[in-house]
Amino acid sequence: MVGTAHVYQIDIAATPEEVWRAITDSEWTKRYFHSTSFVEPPVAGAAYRTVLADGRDAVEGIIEEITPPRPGQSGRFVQTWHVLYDAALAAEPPGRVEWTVEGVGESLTRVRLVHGDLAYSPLTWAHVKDGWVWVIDALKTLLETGKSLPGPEVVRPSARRPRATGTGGRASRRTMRCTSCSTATVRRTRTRPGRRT
Amino acid sequence: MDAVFRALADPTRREILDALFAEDGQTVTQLAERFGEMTRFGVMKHLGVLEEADLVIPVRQGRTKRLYLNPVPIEQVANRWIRKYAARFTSALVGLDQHITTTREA
Repeated sequence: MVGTAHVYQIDIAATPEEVWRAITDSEWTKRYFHSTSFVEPPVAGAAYRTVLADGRDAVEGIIEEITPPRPGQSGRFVQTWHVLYDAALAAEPPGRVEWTVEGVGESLTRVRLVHGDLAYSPLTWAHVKDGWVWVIDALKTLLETGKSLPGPEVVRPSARRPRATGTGGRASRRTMRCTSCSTATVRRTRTRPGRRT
Repeated sequence: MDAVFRALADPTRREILDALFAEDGQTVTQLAERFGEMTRFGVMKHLGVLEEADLVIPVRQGRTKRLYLNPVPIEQVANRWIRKYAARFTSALVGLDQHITTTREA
């Protein structure tokens, strides 16, 4: 059965303010979020749009809430999420992405991401499921090490060395699309019954 | 990461994760029904361990609490403890394969 939401949580060794900046400021999103950036700085109640590095549209929606974190209070960044980077996904209704940023210790921040309202967007539901894991992993890596994760490996069949058997490695990989751009990527397969991509 | 391995070491807890993987966002009552032989208290105890490891995230919606599978810690375990070794094994197999092919051709 297709669910209506995905939930992710991770602890990052950074202050809530640093995490907040990484989520809301294009200079940071570019470095971990598939090179996407906000066309205009996000404003509560206003429409927003993000674009890929080459200027193509990535995602659009409405910023529903911007509450920066303060001592003793979690930050919340809530936006509706209408995918533009893929025609089939763009035809589905928008979902809602909610970031919660909460200080849980000295320079330790708990980040929770809920991508909800996906009941009528089964393709988007299936598509972003693994994609967010990569984005969150890249966010943590950037804030903790200052380094961007190398992007998911891009498929270049011609660049691949031919294998002697032609099967072996092929079976352990699968092609998938990245969450924020339509670049096809290869990831190692984990058997996932019921995946719809 | 210790908490993740501890949580994954129990078959019932792995079954709970599988149940949430199949249908995310279940309530405790829905989950407890699947484990008919176990008391609700028993299921809650297992959920406590899974929540401690951040593998299951409870989200309140009004008066109901829904449980969601958080795949991030599993991805971290896979990155740190599985891919590294799997890659070596795969490259050893490819090496063996190439060795056999070239020996045959020679």
